[in-house]
Amino acid sequence: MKRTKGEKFFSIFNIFFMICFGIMCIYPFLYTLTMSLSTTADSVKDGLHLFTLNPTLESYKLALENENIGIAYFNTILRTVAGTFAALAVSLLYAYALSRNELPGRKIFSNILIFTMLFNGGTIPTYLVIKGLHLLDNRLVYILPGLISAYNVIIARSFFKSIPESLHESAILDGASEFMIFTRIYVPLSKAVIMTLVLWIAVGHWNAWYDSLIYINDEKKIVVQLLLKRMMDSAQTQMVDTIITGDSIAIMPITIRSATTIIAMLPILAIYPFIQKYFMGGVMLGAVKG
Amino acid sequence: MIMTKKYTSYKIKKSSFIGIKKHWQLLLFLLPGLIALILFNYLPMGGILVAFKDYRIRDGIFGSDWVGFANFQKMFTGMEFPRILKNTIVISFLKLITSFPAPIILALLLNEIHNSKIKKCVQTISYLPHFFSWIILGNIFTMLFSIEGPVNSVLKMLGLNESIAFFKSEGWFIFLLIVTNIYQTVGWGTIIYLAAISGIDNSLIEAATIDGAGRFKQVIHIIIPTIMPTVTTVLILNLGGILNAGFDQIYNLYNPTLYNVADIIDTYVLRQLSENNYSIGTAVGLFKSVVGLIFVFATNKIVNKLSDDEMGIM
Amino acid sequence: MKRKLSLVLALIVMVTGFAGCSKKETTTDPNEKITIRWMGFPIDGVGTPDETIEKYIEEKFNVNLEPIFITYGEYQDKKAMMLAGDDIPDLIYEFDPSNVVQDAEQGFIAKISYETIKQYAPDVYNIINETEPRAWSYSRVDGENFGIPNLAYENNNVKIGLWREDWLKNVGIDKIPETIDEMGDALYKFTYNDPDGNGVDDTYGMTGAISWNAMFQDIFGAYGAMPFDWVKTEDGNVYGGLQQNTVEALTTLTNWYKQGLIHPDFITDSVSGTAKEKFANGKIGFINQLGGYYDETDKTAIQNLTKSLNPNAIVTDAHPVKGPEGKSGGFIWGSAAHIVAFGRHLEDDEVKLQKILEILNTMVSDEEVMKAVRLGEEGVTYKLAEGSESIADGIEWISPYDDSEIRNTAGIVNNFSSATFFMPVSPSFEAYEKYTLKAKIDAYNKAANGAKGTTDAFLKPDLLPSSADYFTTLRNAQIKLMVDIITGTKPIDSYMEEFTQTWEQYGGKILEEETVPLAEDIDAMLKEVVAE
Repeated sequence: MKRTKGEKFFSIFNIFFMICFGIMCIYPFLYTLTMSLSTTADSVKDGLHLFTLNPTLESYKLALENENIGIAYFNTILRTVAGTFAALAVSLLYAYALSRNELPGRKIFSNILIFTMLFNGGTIPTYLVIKGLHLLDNRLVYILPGLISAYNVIIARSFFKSIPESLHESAILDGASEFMIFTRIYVPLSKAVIMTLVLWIAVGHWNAWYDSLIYINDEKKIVVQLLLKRMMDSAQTQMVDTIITGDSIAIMPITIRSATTIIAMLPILAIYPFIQKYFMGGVMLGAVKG
Repeated sequence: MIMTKKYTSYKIKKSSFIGIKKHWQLLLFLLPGLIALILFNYLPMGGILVAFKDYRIRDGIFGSDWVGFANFQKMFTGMEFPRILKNTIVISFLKLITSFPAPIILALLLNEIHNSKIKKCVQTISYLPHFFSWIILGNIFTMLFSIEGPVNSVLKMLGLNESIAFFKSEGWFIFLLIVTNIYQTVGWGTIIYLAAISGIDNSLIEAATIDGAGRFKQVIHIIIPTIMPTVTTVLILNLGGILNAGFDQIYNLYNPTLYNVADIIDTYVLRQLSENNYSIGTAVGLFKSVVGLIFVFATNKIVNKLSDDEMGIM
Repeated sequence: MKRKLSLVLALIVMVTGFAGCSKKETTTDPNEKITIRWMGFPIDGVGTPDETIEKYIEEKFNVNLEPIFITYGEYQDKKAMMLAGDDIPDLIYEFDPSNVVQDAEQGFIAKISYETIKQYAPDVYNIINETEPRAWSYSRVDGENFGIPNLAYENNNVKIGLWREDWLKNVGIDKIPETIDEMGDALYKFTYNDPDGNGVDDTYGMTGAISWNAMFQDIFGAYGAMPFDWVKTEDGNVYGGLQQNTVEALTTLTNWYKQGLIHPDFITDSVSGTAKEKFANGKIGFINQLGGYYDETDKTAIQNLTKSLNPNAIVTDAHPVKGPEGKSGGFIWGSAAHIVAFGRHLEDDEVKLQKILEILNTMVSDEEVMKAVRLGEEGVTYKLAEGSESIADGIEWISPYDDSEIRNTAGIVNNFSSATFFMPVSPSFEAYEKYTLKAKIDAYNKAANGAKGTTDAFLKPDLLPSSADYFTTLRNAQIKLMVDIITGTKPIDSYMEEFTQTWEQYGGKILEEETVPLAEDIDAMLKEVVAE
């Protein structure tokens, strides 16, 4: 394929732009990584903190040596895996149903969903409902309330709708049930969007901490993000005048905050490349031949 | 993704009962989602009524006194409200017209990188800022854009006479908000568009090349139309949150000298520490939702009209 | 289908109506052991709570204690949910008078008369009256009392700053500046006379911060100005920001900025963040807080940080500078701190309320108990340090209590100035002086040099009913104006005119009117609390 001069020039410019952009995007990461490995004295020094000459694992040790860190990780992993799978199943089924024009009451079910995206009862009423359903201090509270989100369903529905109707028609003629069509045709063809949803939902679960704060009291059931957050708060005795604690803090808040951020991010960074290939064109979706 | 042809020969079922019987499977698909929606979204929905009440928790939602629109009146006639509303709209709007197209453009540019390793690498790096809380990013940007910081040093080297006070000048602060917002959201935002692009049938591209269309024409006539449904869907969905101007970001970059342009609705709610906390907070939330609904509805109608009912979400 | 619908409806009614039912609490049988659900001052620890002090209280007072530990960052949210879910503890810690107002109006906390407190906790009562009877306004809602205020003695101290003494010597100044002119001179020399001797013009005198309660308060104090607070005068209460002394202080600040003595980052700097960094890095030679006693082993103490970045640095406590009329000090919060409240059901449960009050009283009247609930058990959690003859000379923690995390989760704190988890009421000032590290008190007195801080006339300006509506905007506008003037964008003469206009435009007059009934109410309250 011959490329014009214009295209070549553009290519070079594009790569150049991407490199600059990449450098800008990676800076907070380098900064945070450096801070997480810095000693207290070094963290205070002037400069861009792109690297540190005296790395130390102090902050990481402090963050990880809590007795509950193992259980917290377990809770987070459990919620992420189970929660993502459950939410995916529920959302995709709903989206598929919505994408079928012949669904009775389609507009109603669609509007029921969209309405929830815009209107919310509020934290206290939600808390009272959760309490009434006996989900307080129960790990299910991590999974059940998040099972369906309008945003995800609408996105999935939009992708489902763009799959040619002819596939559905011929499958029906072949005697397939809706469920079979869904699992054997629509899902395989939608890998890119499904993986996108997996990413969104999983990251959402991984980073969640507020529900753990509000609904869970048992130390053994909290998620790792909340535990890390508590650690940061406890190391940050930086409160307005009216609070006075007798003891001084041992580690600079920013180094701990940086360490907890890195700890929280690393698993996502590690898993991301495996998901990325699904929407970067690394996997052939297969052409839809008529 | 090829757009579906509109069904022109769809038979309308006369009796919905027959419809339910025939499509019971589809209805079953809806069931788990519906139960979740009812339990966790609609049951608490009664909480919206708090906006019209003088909410006393001990009396419950139904037991509390009805005050009609009094809470809204208090909010709208508050001396600060016009300014706060204006700030919220300005910031939201500016963010929308910049941060919405940015991921699309970036996705298209990424798609043009032929070296798959570089492409993946850059895309991965680009989403990193999304994972940093504004507490950290606030620290970093305050340092980078300070009067004697790196950005101003570079600007001075390029010939600028005096440093730009990004945290004192109202105009430059808004600029900072917009730019850092793009920065934090663009990489993560490309994912959905890349997913859409990845589904493009290569044979179309090949055919276009054979026909002599240059790359640029291909982008305009094939790629962009193909991802249009995704673009409009994302746009409409995001409009629901139109009155969220980014509280976290503003809170972490803010200082009192910027109150005139940076106080937004959420800042206002935070300050309502007086006794009607819940009622006012709910009223404001309801106001935001209603405005969001109007935008979603209007945009959806426009999109429907322009696309023959193909691309709307409602 | 119909059954499903009615089930759903029933669920809705049950859940939303649920909050409307208040549990009927049975009053306590005086012969049974009482259980106290105790939601005290938030701890900062993470982990399984240690039970040393809890067990002590249970044994000593023959009660069942159920401590509810919440971390500081989560306190407001968790408390809100608990109370909303009708899970109301017996003892509830409140941080701010506005929290008390809200919880009282929502019916979560109990009304408790001065007589009741006087009867069952007389020492607690008297300590407040002796030190700061105005603190009672913190627990006052619509003329009724809803809790017991507590104190923080160290909040009555002025903030002590720090000077780079080595810089002073390098530029030829051999005493710590005591007047504002001396300070200006030192700052000037810091900026222009290369105090760090590196040949580069890279130093400033000082920086600042611009939150209303921490903005150049030492400088304003030198002119006797209280720019963001109410000041009592013979004509009633006036707003400090409209007084001439504020303009005088501003003039000095403007001159200093024009001369380049104040770092331009003062708009975004925070005392314990970037300002601290600047000082430690040797970019500025003066900082107006963080001085006083510090723990030599604390790596994050500014004194230690500065020395680790520059071994030649000598960091010395500053004196609050005196202005042209000899005034010094500036804004302080004052000793009134927070409030301890009680669950609404205790209004009907005299036995339990009495017991709790008695426990609280014993903590302040019996020094052994006080020590036990703050420090733990001597010989087990702590012991006297080497060469120390009393607690004020210094103590040491015994393993594993030398780990601050463990101490935090046990509620063990070496602090006699303010409230702790297990002791939410304040010891007497004498007890505070007796047990607090002598070195700390001496360091403060030496540095403060007799300076006294000034509190707001009402202690907390937010006590005015309309303050939530107006005060934040007013203050922000005022700060913006001040910053514009200091940085030279606007002339100093514009301050009075412009701010007066802003004041009237943004509701200042309404606030002024409200100060009158508030002052009257406080006077009435003061009469009530000291009445026989």
